[in-house]
Amino acid sequence: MSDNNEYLDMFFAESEEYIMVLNDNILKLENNPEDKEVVASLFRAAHSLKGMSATMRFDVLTELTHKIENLMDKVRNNKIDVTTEIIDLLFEGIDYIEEIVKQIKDEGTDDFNLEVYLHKLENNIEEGKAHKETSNQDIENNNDNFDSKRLTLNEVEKNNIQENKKELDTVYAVNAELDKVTEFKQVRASMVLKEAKEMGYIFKSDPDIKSVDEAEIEEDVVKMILISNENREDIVNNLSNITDVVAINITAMDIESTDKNMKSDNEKQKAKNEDSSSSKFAVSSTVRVGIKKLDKLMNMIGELLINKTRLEALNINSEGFKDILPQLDRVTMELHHTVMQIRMEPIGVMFNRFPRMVRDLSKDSQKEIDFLIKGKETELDRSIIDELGDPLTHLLRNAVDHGIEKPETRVKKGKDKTGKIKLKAYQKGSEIIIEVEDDGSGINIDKLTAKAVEKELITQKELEEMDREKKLQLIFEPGLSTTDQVSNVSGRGVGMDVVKRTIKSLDGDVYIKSEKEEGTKIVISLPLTLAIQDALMVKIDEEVFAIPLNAISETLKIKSKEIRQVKGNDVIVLRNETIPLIDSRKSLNIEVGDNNYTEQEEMSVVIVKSSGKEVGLIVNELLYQQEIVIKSLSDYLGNVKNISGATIIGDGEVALILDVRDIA
Amino acid sequence: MSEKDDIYLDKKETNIGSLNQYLTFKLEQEYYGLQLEKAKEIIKPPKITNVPNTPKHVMGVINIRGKVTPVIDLKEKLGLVKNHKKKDNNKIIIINIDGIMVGLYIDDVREVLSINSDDIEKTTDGKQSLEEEYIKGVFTSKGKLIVIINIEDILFDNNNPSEEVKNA
Amino acid sequence: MAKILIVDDAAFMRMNLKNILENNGHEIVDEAANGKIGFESYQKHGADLVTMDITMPEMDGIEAVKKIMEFDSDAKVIMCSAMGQQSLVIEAIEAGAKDFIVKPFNKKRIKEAIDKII
Repeated sequence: MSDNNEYLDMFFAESEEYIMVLNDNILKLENNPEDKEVVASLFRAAHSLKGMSATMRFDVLTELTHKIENLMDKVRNNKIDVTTEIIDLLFEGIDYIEEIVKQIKDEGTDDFNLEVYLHKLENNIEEGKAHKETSNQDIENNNDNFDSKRLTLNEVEKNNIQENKKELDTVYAVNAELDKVTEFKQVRASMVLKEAKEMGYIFKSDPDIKSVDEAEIEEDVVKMILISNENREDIVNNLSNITDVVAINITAMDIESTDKNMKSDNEKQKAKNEDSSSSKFAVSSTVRVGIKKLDKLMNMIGELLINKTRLEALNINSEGFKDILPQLDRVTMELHHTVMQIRMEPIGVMFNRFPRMVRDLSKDSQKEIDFLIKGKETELDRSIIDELGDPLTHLLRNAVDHGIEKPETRVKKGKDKTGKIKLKAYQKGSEIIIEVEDDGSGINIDKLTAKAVEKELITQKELEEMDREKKLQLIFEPGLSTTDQVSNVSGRGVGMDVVKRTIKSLDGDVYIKSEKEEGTKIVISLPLTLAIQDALMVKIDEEVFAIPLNAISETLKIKSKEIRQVKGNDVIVLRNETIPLIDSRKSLNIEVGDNNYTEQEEMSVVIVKSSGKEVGLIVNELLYQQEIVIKSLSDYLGNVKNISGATIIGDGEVALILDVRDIA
Repeated sequence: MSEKDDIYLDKKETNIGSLNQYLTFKLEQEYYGLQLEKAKEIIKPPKITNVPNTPKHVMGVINIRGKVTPVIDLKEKLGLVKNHKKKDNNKIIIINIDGIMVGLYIDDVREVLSINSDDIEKTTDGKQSLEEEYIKGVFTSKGKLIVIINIEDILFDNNNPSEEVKNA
Repeated sequence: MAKILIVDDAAFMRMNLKNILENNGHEIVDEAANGKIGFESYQKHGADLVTMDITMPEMDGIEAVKKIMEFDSDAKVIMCSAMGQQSLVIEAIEAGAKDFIVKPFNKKRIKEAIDKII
């Protein structure tokens, strides 16, 4: 056990990632046993885990990961075939790794009885051998006149050398003795030979330079015949410099000299193709920064931006001031963008836990499900990603539990017996969209509405006035769990209402689409960045409000005579679209009195997207566009209708941010 | 809102303990007191941004060093009759309860008094306009009656302002 | 006092090595999580010495050594290897790495290896 907390935190964070990579890749391997990339990734992950465990002195974990690494090594060397037993074995191993890490977290020790599993693993490694192991013997045959101390030359060789060596060359018999406790003796041997090669020509050597990685180094001595024009001292010095070399023994050999060029080979290495399809989320390629530190950084940037805006608003009449402002602007914007980038993480990291979960769930409920994930590389602010885990888990569980039918049922309905669940993430404008879609039985709207009326969430009359869309959204009302039996997989108090609440707390929105017998699709939309947004400042009554730019389609001025009436509501017709008009004051419960907008000749309208439709919001005045720092409206006030937050504007005052999503 | 208008409250050590120190203030003609410990700052009211769709006692929000803080009209919340004439000495007391910051809009700030819990008299027939739990009791000082209030209960009386709006 | 570039896909190992090296008075000029980034970093910042892990995604240590040596024939790279990777280390040495250290790291050995190269 290590009592170094810094390492421990890192250990946990890293091992979690590796465990995810392992799970992800074993699933891939199951579907594609021949995939070499996946095997390589698995090997690397096990290898890294082993390294960390060893350093932290978690011996049990080290042994486990080591054995799994061995298994993967054998797989990648084609010594073992990937069978279902191997896959199950791997899954079991990963589960154990997870359990042990958890135990280390909770109890501080990795003491775990793995005997049975390790035994199984060993057996499988032994049995699974598909090829014979190549022998590890030295390929090189030693010469007949073998002097155990030194290499010698026979007459033919001497002749050969005589004819080919240069005038100034001397033929040396060189022995380099390695330290008995040398790690990686073969590598040291290769380094000795390499160094020697730099100084001349190695006529022959033991171990042979070509097979040094498999050679046995007899008595820890590297022997060679070196033909070189370097002087003896230099040779000795250069070779002795190599770590783990404890002695150099060098003698000149007697040979008659002739001229010839002898060049050592130049090995040109071609660049290999890059490993392009390896798991991109194995390890994040940036420095790990605690979320708290990032939040602090974000807040400070926010403050900086506010103060910059206030500074700009001061409108000081000075050359220097006017010069500095654009610089300040540029620097703060860049800083802002960079920090935003730091906070972004690919959502795939979080998605990675789902394939395993869906697989286990479908096995438990005896359903056959194809699970597809798209858009893993979509990036989101990391604090948002953290919050999405639970809601998405719940939605996926629902899809498996209540969405996809059992294979027999599906066939009877004329569907494919394998159900499909799709998890998709993509960016749309300045929003991130996440979709959970299944091709199952769809939501039973009648059952849903019946329950809603029964629980007095809506009245029968209200129900009659609802269109299909609105009825579907009832599923997000608390207290509307329509499962009559609580399966052991769903439940746990994470209802659809909690999902909606979580998404809303992230400033996002969630929306459900469903067709009977065709399936259900839940669409989550989230703002790209949490804290800073472009907004249009408008005046409503006497107050300044901010409307997020990403909610605005366009702004325009209309004349009162352009207003039409449809079903008693004010609308305007814009490029053949009928857009309902709403007096923003009414949405804010501000007294309108006699001051009806429609009485004015001309008015300003902001066309916004609300609940999937476009709506024209009538305001007093369009002011200006500005980047605003979103401040949350105090916890004390809770959720205020049609207000999503606040921002600080130029004069230090608070301006409210309009939430137009439900304003229609 | 400049710094010199803020009065930061110095929590002086007394051998009685800060829990027994009360910040007194005026609402209309009456004197009230709340635990000094809960009060963090007293400021001159800046422009208060009105927040729509909130109950009447929520006056709006203000900016306190970058944090958006709600301001409650204490008179409204306690159901007192108001004389709408704007007073010169209006102040906002910033309260911090469990990390939540709220501002109380009051008429005038008075002094800090050390009051022993034993000396706070319970009132059975309290003021009709106030709820029982809101009042801890009364204390008489220099001939003035000071109503000691439970600011926590007043602010967090199970009625989240947004809930009130829903039911309105 | 050398400027060192650490290349290893395990942040844990990087941190470990960084601590040991900094304690020896060296300066870590950059860290990279795979050979590709390591090479790019070397191109951009240079370093007196590079510590290079062998098994890494995107581009492994041997590949990276080749690229670095191609870019700067005077570059000094030390391989960081685990048990059982001897042939790979040999390959790396052939590609131009100057020395190697074995994981788990022995502080003395690391110091020796580095002092020898610098």
